[in-house]
Amino acid sequence: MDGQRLPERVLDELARAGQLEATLAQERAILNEVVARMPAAVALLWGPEHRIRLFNDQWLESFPEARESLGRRIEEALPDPASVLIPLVQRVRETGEPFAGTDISFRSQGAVTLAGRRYFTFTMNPVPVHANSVDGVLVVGMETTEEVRRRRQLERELASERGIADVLQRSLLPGKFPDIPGMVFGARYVPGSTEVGVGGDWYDVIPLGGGWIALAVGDVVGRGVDSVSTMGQVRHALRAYAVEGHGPAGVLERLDRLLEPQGQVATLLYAVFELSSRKLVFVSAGHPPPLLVTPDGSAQYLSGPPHTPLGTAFTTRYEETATTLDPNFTLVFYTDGLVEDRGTPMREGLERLRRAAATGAADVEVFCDRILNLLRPQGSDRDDVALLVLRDTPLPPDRLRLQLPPRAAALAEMRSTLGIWLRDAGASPEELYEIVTACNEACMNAIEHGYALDAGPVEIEAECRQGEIEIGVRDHGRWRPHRGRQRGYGLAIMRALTDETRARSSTLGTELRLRRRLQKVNP
Amino acid sequence: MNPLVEISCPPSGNFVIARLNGEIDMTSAPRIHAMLAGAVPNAAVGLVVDLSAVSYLDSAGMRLLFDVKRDLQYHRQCLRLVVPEDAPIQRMVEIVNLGGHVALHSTLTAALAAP
Repeated sequence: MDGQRLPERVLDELARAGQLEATLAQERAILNEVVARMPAAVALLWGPEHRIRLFNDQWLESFPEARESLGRRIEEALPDPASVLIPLVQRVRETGEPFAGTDISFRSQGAVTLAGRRYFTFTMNPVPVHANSVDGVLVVGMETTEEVRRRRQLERELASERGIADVLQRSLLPGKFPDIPGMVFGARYVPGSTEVGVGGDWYDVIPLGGGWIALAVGDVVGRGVDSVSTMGQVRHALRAYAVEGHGPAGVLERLDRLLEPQGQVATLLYAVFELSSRKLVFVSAGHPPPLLVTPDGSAQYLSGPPHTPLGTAFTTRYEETATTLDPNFTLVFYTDGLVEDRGTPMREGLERLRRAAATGAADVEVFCDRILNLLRPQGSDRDDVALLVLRDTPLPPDRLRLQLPPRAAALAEMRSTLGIWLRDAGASPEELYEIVTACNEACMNAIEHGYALDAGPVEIEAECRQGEIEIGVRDHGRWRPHRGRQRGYGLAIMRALTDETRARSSTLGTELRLRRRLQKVNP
Repeated sequence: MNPLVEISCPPSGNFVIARLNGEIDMTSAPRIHAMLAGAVPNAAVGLVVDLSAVSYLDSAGMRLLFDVKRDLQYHRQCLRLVVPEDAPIQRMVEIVNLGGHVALHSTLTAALAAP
């Protein structure tokens, strides 16, 4: 039997193998335990058919339909996830490179789904048993459907608030500027970045009558719908105070008192401008200063007391700054979003704006675009920006065409514009007054016809030829020379103030022509 | 800017004083008329309209003054106007011969003192 006894060497081997097996079994148990307890769905897909060789409880929890799937092809066990996963697994097998991806979605039943789909983050690692081959792929998945759902909802809510604020903001900005001959307006509003949202920046141009206009640029502190609605309130209150006849300081004092009890704070640059004299009177409440660009291309900030922002009630008296501007100026009002960038001091932003504006541009729209392109911060935390540009342009010297819209301030605006044109044509102050007055009477006639017949606007065309002014005022009604004693006065005034006053009537309407020679011919 | 119409009644007075400001044209005339219409009590002798600070007056403004004068006459009250020599509207006053229709005075004192 001796010969049948296994050699000691073999026994040793067996014993060692048994030990090894025990160790291996222990290791496998630990490994299984680790896999089972992993807080993720784990499965090992084996061979070219991707048979499910191993999975943990989490995998079953994630895919209950996979209960009887051990040893089956994933394609059969979980057809919908498989359609998405197999190409990824295939790639890991072919390249031997691990894969990681987020928001991988497929149709699936589950507690939480988004449009019938569930979302996972997957990592896939090659499991090589033999050298240079990938025998299996370890798939580890974490469901993120709930996170994706929350994220999308948040995005929708943000988009919605942003959308409301954006629409509100735009609806509160003036859609159209007053039509003032010799004045060109340009403006831009750019909302802040998505993270920052819409702010309370605004601009406004208000015709005040009597040849004055008001300009405003402001910034309500805060973001979103609340600050935009405060902005609307401030803007309308400002219009009301301005139209009521309060000067710049009076308007700011009232707005300060209006905002203070509400706990709202806003900066504001407010100015009134007289068209005939080019006199500018402005006040700032904590707002960056206006920039003046002259036709020779130099640009400088107009300095004035800065005061505190509106709503702080620190300023007891706002001090107005008055200056007379030279012809063909460009005036730039803006909000701090244009000159303030995180990381750079405002002083640098102001200098960049000054240099950008000094390059000038023939067209106001081009000028606005250039300033925005050069200055607007690009960061993800950029503020909103409002920009208002006013440019004085010469009226055409030999011929002026105006339209008188049927509204209250139209006559005062006509007198102001015609006065400026006559002054430039060389009329003396007396001649200017008399010609404007004659034209005013002609326009009153035309307005009465127009109102009566609900016809189009009154058209005025003034020409200057070799020191002679000729003005035609045309309406689309019929000429009625005497309607009561007052109309007689109108005609008497026109005749007294002109060399010739003629009425021409046709089926198309009536035209009054006024002629007046100037004493001094403008060279 | 001052309000369009400032109305005062001096304690001594038989007259109501209305000081007009700014431009009196087709646009502002109806508002001014409405404000003047209710300003004069029956007991008053009349109304003094001070036009010193009026920068512009057109035929609608003239019509307003004539209408006010007619309203006052119904109540046997009179209208007196103050137009200084250097008033901005002086030229207009001459053209329509305003003095031929309404009593003109060059100062407020003169208007109140007139018989």
